[in-house]
Amino acid sequence: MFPGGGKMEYCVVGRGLCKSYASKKVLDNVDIHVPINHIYGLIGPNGAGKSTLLKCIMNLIRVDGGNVQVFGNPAGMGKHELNRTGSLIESPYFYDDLTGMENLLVHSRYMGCYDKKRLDEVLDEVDLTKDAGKKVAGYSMGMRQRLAIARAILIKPELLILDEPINALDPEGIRKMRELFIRLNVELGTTIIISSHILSEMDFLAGDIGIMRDGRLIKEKTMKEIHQENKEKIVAKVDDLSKAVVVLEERGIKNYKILDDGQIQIFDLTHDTSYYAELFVQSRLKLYQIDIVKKTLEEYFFETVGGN
Amino acid sequence: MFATISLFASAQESAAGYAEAIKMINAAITDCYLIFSGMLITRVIVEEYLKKTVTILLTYSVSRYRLMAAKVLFVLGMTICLMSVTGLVSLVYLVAAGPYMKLSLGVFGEADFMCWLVQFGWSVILTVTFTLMSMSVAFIKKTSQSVFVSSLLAIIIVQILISQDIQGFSLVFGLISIVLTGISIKKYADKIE
Repeated sequence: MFPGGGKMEYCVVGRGLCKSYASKKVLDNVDIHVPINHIYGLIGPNGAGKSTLLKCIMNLIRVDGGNVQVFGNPAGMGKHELNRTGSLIESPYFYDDLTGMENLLVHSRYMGCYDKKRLDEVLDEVDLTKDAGKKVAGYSMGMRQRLAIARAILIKPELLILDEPINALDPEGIRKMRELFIRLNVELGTTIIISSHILSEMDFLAGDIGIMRDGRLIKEKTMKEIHQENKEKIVAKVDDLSKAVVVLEERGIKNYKILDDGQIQIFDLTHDTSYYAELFVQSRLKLYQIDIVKKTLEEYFFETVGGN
Repeated sequence: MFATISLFASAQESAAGYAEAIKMINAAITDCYLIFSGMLITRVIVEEYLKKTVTILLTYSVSRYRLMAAKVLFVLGMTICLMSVTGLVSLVYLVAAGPYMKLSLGVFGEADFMCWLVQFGWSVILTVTFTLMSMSVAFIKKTSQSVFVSSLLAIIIVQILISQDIQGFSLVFGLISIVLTGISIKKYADKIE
């Protein structure tokens, strides 16, 4: 809830955030809105300013302009807010001379939440129970990443800020972490801000997307909006392509493409799939498959940032 | 340290009395602990920045000023404790081994002990003062090289102050370094960009 008593819609709100290093603008008037209990995906090319933005939210760097509001606190990330936040910013840093368990122990004591059972629990969640007694110096990058995730979720945070958390993980690890994040979000209502280069993962995970480029947040949309806006084509597979073409032409539909594998792609989206299905069936064509293909997040991303 | 004491004590011209020997020993102890505190500062403060573990420290729901102040107190505490042990052991060694090392120091009396206490007190003040200076440098520059250079400079200044018997200046330096450390923690300790 906001201090005023109204219902809080956003967990994090940033307004007009600016940050420069020397003469380079790293953040340029960024406005970000992270709805409470949502998973917010922050995507953008290298150097777009994602990590800097997350550091600003965590109050790890001072902004040149603008302000961040966290949990309704206009002063941003203070002591009280840090107590409710887990984070993994940039790389997973640890005290390398300590074991995985000792690192978590240090963290839990600083956060004032020492609970041996919880430590075992998070280590189990990231599959590090066996290696908890080994020094972190001997961990692989993937293990460090998983330990950092364990540290971030240790206090069952209300807000979880993760900067490229699945970078060094293998496919199995990525799947497990995805399930873990979704579980935290669904079961505990944890708001998650996650930046990643792996757009297919963000497609799975995020309910909201912020696209950054050149220090600016150029788009902020829900995944639902993205999918609704980006219906791309209808793909149908029939037994007789030449007859299908005649049927379409007769109805004045000219925006289509024939593929070698017997598929026909229709780009005229004034009608839906049921219309085309009915059309083909009534024309005595055997319809094997018909589907509406939506743009993936990757396609939407490249379209938005103007890359290839 | 024992070698230093023995060398000083062996040179009869250099140590005609306990006061002279004590002064030389404390100067040596101060130098050693300025180097020691420099190394401790590197380990406890600078490495947090170099290994970037400070980004974790700064996400704890603990006052950042208090967190860094605790590190300052830890370095000072460790340095003073070990320095005191070294000072006492050196004094015992000087008194016990003195008669067997061609010394003409005579009997160690209460006046000599008071002299040691005063000299050692100055050594502690000098060490604390210049350790704080090095810590300010550590918070501002965040590199081990800068801490090493500041420790070396501190040794030179301390030697001048001791040899010229103007240790009293360390009180002024001390006040300045306390203020400087406070400011450096407040302004620079959480600056990680």
